[in-house]
Amino acid sequence: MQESNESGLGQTTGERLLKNFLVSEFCLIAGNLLVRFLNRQALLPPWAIAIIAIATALPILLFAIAFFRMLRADLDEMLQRIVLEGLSFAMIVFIPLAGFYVNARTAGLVSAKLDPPEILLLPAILVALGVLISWSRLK
Amino acid sequence: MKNCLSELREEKGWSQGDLAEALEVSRQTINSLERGKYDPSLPLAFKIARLFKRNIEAIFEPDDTPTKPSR
Repeated sequence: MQESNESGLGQTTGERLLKNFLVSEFCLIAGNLLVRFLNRQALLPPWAIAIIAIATALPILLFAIAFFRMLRADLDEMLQRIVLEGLSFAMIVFIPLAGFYVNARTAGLVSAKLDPPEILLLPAILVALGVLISWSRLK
Repeated sequence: MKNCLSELREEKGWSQGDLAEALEVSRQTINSLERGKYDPSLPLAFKIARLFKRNIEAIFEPDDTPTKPSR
């Protein structure tokens, strides 16, 4: 029996996935901040900083693999649809936003510089929002 | 799409969880199906029809057609 049978996206598989995502996203952002700090302070040799940078990005790779496996194996058709609609929503919103930002910044209309943590979080927030919208429509 | 899934399920004395287990889907999916919020794929519709030993048309009907119980 599928794991999602018992309680669906909201509890078992979905909860575990969300927890893993938050942990891996935290590792990534913390790693990014640490690398910036270490680069500025020159406390470690470059190879050590590179190891930290790669190691802190590994959890998000593991999350991506787990997400792909869950999407194919653990979710039924409606839950798959909800997740895929969430992803579509994120892409539909993120790509034009990114396009406008890049062109506006190149044209000098926007001076704000987005750092990687913000850029990394935005698609994740949009996916979560998209899943919530789709979920509320089908619930 | 309208359906009489909840009536058929109740006839059998099953909970939504029981039906979800029999159809290998989540309980949320059963809930959405029963409320007419989600239309099943053709394979799932056939699975439901086979489980209740009825034709698909006897369980699912388009919104413009009145639901008629067929036993």
